Amino acid sequence: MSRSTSILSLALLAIAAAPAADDIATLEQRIQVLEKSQKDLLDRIRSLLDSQVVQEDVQGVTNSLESFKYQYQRDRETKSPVSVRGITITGGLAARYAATNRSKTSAGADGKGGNANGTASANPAIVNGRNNTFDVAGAFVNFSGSLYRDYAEGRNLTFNLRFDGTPQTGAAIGNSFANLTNANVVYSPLPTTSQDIDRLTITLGQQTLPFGLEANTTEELRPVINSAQFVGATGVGRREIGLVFRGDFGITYDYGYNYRSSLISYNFGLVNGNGPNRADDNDYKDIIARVDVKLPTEYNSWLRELRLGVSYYHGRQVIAGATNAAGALLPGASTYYEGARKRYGLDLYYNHFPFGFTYEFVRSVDDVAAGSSTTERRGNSHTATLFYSFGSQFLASQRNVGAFDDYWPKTWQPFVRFDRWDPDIKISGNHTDIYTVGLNAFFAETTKAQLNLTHKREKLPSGAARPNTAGFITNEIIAQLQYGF
Amino acid sequence: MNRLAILFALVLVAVDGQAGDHPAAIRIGFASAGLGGRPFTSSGVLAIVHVKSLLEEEFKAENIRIDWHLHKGAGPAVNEALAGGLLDLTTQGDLPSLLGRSSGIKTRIILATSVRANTYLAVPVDSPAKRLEDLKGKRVAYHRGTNATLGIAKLLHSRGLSDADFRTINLDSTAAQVALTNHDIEGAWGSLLLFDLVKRGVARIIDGTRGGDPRNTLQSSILVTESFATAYPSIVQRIVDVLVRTARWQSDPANRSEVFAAWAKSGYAADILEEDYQGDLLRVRSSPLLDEFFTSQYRDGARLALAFKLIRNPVEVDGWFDPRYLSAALKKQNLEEYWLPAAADGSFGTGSTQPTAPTATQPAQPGTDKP
Repeated sequence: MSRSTSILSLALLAIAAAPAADDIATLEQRIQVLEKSQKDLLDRIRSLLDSQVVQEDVQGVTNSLESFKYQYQRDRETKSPVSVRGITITGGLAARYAATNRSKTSAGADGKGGNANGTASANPAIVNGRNNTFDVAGAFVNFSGSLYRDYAEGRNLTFNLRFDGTPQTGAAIGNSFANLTNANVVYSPLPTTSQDIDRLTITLGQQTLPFGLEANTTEELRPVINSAQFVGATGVGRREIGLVFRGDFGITYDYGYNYRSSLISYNFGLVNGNGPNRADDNDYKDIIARVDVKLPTEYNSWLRELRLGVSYYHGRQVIAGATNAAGALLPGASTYYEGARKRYGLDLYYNHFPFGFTYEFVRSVDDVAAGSSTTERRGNSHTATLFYSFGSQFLASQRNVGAFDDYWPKTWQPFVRFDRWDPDIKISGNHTDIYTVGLNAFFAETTKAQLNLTHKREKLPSGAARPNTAGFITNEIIAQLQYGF
Repeated sequence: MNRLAILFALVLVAVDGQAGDHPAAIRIGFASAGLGGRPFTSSGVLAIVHVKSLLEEEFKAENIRIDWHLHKGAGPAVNEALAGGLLDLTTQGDLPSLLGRSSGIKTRIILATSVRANTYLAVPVDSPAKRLEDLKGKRVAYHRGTNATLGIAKLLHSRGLSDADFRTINLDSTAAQVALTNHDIEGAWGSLLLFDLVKRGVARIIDGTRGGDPRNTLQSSILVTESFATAYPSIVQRIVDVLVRTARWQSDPANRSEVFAAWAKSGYAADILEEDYQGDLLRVRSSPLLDEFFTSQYRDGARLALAFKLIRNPVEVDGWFDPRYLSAALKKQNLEEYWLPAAADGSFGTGSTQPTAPTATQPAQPGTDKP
């Protein structure tokens, strides 16, 4: 290569090299941009991988689901009560303390008129100077549910099964038995999917009688701890076995409040009339009928829940012939008679939040053994209750509110009650009056505390075994905690 | 004697707790609760105010307590609470509030809220029905007496149909959803909650009011009791100020996701809530105006409620609206032209029944970005 050629080559190289330096700078810039783009892309891919579902995530969810299914199945098999049909289980219990102003030495043996009202007074059979006691008034468990649900028209078939446990009278040691109280199926032959149409249900089995107010009010709703005297004395509070139709018509439905009111509610049925868990003791089926009339009002009317009801029970009963002190039949007396057993009821109900008033009159007519024949005995009862609520738990809108915690609208309900029972109106001065003043405190959904002060005045006519026409007076305080689940 | 009177007055004050220039508490109701009873709802502007504790903040200085009552029993439960004197202010749908007024509840409508809400018709996912008419003679459920009743009746009427063309069954929304899932009914009317069934793949929406005549949609309002408004007008004004400010914030498209997130605290997924707003401007649905469309809907509802025998006596609607608080709040916040008043037919004067984007008649958005 000549010298001139070499110089030319170097010059060309220099010329070539000059723009290459610019390109390198540009390229470097581009590389930087590309590197940034690559980094951004990688960041984005990582971000997407973080946010998007990938195979591992699906597998994780599947594993969690399988674990949950296994745990659920296992718990259902080993730890959960199961049934063929859906069942609602409820129950309740009442624990209480009572004290009276008169010591009790044994059942009715204090010579001053027997036991104070309410306390498990005849349990145990022998007591020594007792004037206060703790006791469990009763407990129950109830099963109810649907046997068939008609989604289209609501002609449903349901059932109800209830057991009540109560301390046994006179038990020397602490016995109690779980008695079958409710055992029935209920069918609705009329549609129930609309609130503004007539209703009818047919109940077959052991059930409460649709007689009056008090006998149909459960312990959970009754303001007073103890039932009115007539409930036990006339037997309208006991369960009966039979077939009862319950229905209403003349419906006023206030859509503004979801308030349903019927002009006429009716109940009609045939029952054994021989009490719970027993077959009939005669061929006659007792008749129960009740009608109540309510004014067709809207919810916001002051006449809302003003109701007048009449009840009638017509039955026959087997009466053992009268015996002498030795237990032998009186001369001319039959071993058994079949006599009348009738009950008449009239009641007035007004419950307009926050106050309410109820009055109930009941007359009992019974044939009883007397000498060599039977005679008619008539009893009367008057029961009146007045109550007022401070708080709003009796309003559905206030009970059903959205809340995280165990919210309940706490309510105080003071009340007064007058309760008179006269077992035989032919005998003057032969009745028992109970005046009760009390307070109910509703502080949780299914729990209430109750305090009752009772003043009981028993009058017995002259000539009775323990005559006192002025009246034996017993004062009692009962504090009860009633809770359900 | 005077001492006795003073003592008695003091006892009354202690018991009532509402004497003086401001109340001890303001009791506010919702005609709904969240999923599973949780204490949050998706009920419009008041739900946002609730979630953000804006009234608590507003009345913090006076130590006025805000009691929220979220009624699972919907409108009827609110009426019961109003009748019992247990609420001062509430939100409620048009029909339940009309029913309440017909029974003598003394309230004033001070603000519109959640206007133009839709009603939908769902069928089981495998149903052959493609449109409303395909369900003639079939079992179709809805909850008679609820807010949807009027909308359904008007929609059916607009198609030349009525309840009599179907085997109409009265079921509440929960029972209807179960029945639809179990194929015990062929169709169910309901609110946006039906989208939950759609999402789960058990139902399809085949008809509804969305995109149709706005006069078939449902309206809601904020009501104050007359006794509270009379006793505490300045307190009511401050409440309305907060509500209007929040409605303005809620109407801003920039806050759309935050609005649905707040409503989703009710337990209903935000995408289900958003589904109901598809094609709608939040600004239109959040309008607090007591405009001609809103008031005529109430007048129409009163007439139809009587015709459908949902009420016994005619309801006088005109004296019910009290726009004074709203007007003052709009003026104070320079929002007098922010929401466009709609004509009785639901249109905004441009021939469109529902604008899809801000137009010249929908002026630029003044005000702040925060409620």
